[in-house]
Amino acid sequence: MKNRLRALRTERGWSQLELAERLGVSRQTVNSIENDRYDPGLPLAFRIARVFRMPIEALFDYEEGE
Amino acid sequence: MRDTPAQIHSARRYILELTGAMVLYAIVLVLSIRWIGANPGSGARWVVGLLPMVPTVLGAWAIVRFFGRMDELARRKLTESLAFAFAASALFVLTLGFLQVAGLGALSVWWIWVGMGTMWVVGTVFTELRYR
Repeated sequence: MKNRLRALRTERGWSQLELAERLGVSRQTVNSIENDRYDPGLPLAFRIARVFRMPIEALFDYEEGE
Repeated sequence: MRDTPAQIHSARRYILELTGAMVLYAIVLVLSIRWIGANPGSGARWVVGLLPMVPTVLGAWAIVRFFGRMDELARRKLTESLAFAFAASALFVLTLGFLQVAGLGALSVWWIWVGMGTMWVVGTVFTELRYR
């Protein structure tokens, strides 16, 4: 699933480490999500949306068949 | 890769707990082997022989505690590596079994643990590369 995490994170001047601390996850998790290697579970997706103050649909591109 | 303070603290605690369990295991193992060697006919040798299981359980408990503190990606990676290790170990053990039917001599059950551990390492490498 494609996402806009990297673009939104860099807009705010946050490092991956800073975002990971805000989300309560490891830096590798943030890195894997940004590289489209891993899709977060629902609780983490909601935390991401809360941190960026955006709806989940604005952060992740879900396509039918995924 | 640098990580958050919470992740680093969690990993340090795990390493400390697991290392402590492994050191205790080594000590208890040596002592139990020596005691059994010195008391081969004793009825207590069965209990003494199983004493290394106490620190083994402590080590397993350290792993379970660490699993509970992991974030979701780390948990998924560990689950996938263990699933791979289980499947590959099953193939390994079945292969040994068929070879024994064909005439291969009896092997120590320790080889099963060696096979499982090796497959877990291989599975861990695969999952690390997959989520990089």
